Amino acid sequence: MGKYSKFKVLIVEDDEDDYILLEALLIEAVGDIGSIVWAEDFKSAQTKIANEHFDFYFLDNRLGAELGVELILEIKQQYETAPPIIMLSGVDDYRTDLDAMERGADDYLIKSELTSYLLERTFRYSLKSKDLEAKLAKLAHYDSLTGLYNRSLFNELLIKTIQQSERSGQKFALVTLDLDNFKFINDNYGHPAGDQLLTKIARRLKHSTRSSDIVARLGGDEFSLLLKDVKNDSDFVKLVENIMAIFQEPIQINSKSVSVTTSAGIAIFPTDAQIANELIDHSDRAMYQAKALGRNNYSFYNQKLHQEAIVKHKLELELNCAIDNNLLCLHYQPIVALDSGKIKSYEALLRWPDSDNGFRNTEEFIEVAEESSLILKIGDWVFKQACLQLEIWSEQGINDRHIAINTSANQFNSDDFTELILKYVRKSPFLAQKLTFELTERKPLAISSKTVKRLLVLSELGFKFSVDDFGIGHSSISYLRAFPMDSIKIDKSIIQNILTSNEDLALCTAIIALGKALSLDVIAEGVETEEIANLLNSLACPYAQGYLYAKPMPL
Amino acid sequence: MNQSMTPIRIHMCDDDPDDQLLVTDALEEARLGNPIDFTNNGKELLQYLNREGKYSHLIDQPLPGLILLDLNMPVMDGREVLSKIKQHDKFRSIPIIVLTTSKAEADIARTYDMGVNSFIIKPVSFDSLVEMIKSVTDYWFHLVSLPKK
Repeated sequence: MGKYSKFKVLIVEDDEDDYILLEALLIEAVGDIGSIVWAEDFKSAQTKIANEHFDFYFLDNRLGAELGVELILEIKQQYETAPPIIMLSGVDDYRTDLDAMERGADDYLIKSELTSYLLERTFRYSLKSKDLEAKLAKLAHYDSLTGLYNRSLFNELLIKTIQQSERSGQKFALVTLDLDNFKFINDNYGHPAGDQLLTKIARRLKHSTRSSDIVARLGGDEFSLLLKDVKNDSDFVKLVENIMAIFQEPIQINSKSVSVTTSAGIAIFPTDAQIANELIDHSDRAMYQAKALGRNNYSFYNQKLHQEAIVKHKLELELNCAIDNNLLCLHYQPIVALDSGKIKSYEALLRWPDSDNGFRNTEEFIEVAEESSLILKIGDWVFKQACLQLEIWSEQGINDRHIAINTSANQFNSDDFTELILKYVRKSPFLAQKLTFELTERKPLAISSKTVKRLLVLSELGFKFSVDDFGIGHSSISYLRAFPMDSIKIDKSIIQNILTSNEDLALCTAIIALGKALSLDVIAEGVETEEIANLLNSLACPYAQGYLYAKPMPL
Repeated sequence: MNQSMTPIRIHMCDDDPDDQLLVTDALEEARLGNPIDFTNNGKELLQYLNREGKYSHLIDQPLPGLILLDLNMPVMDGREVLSKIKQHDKFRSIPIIVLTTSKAEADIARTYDMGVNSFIIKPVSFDSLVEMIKSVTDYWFHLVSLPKK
């Protein structure tokens, strides 16, 4: 294997004979080259430059109507330090030479003067100087001991991250770490040992974070991180705990095991500060707060947020555990026909029993679940439980009962949930006739055409879809336009006011008419008194659900 | 044209997971693309080379082109496994580089004359580790023509 056997060279040359000559000379000059790629005009050169990386560029200056020097900038934009770029010209033109140099070409060669000897030398010299350039660039931006970013690049990246965050509206965290007993290690094991420790900690940090995160050593035993792409505050707790965890394993220094801990301070953009210096200052302060707590601790600049994030994180862990251990349960509330009192179906409602024979706040834990991926896990669980119940009824010979379960359109955005449903239906086809998916959204949600297709498939199998919380929820009308809906449920906040508020009565009447016009079943939610039931009946509302008929109950 | 050639596999035998991380990252930083795998002591290294036990699935894979070996390891240390490798007909031709933590350790190790190809003191800084990896692979994979099996 030759020295350049992995090299990729791009030759931009519109004259095929010139290209063949240069290729031959190049091979004669430096021997085995990984690959030589030819771009025969300006356009194809642009495409290759944008899509591939090369180790060396040769650009002919005259390319039809365009000039090769125009490509220099495009190459430079692809790299922090661009590989060598050699300009070729048919004529010795001093002005082009200067122009090329100013734009950043590394050498300027006249085609008629090319020899393999000249090429070999140009190749060698320009690579050497590029190597130096790259090393200098690296020194300016990287910490040579740990290979992490240094303070100067970190500050630049912080400003860039702030700008990105302002555009995207996403939060990010600045975490400052300071080792707790580094001085002790330096004093007792010597500075080389301290250096070894820092190098190893740097690698652990790098591997405990995601590739989108930024890890830097600012100097001494101080590290800073930017944690990005975070959905909610409790994710920050998770990420910081991952970082704290890397200090649990002792580190081998000169064949001795050494334990170190760290203190971490966290400041969040834009909640805690909107400019770089303030954010740095706040995370420093939080770090000292953590040290004051007694080391091996972390602290958020904003204590209230800290508490909330920790509570949410804890709830998330407990909920995950509850799902895994089958501690959740379903209660069922009947939906009845207003005129006959006959039961149409049962809505399954999620409950999480607590240790005092009561239940955890459903709203609260569903909100936490929705902020994480747990909602999908819960969705799967609820579906399976409902199927199980339908199968039990079927075995008991009860075949006229239907179940409605609450789902988010989000669940249908991935293939997984739909596949789970299809798997169950293949096993027990009758399930499709017995299940309704009630869709409700707390947040506006964009429904992709792919999701609509999935829903259509399920609808054709026999599954029914219902819009929950109609009248107050997001996307209600747009759902009706996008999906094959079967029913709408009027939100209880409207129903409970129809005796006292003319507006709510009008709204309710209009929704019932809307349902009739679109051939949808209409269900009134939260019916608690006879008066309301009578009024709904006189408005020709077909179905109702509420405490007047039954509370949600275990079966 | 060597585009289709797969880079030579490197093996590292070292009980320190942090050193394994360092070398993995240094290889990546040097953009060498050589695959690397690890064992944690001499006994595992012998199993790995013999494709025994948990390494039996590697039976059809070529042996590594270079071994980086730590000296102080539990179960079976670097010296013991070295003498075993050097007595083995098939494995003796694999170049071995011993990584030591100090010059003194390297000097002592050298006196044993274990047929090692070179001794290198583990660099402390990440940058020098990257340079070391570059020059080691350059030397063993590019300049030296390895004896045919």
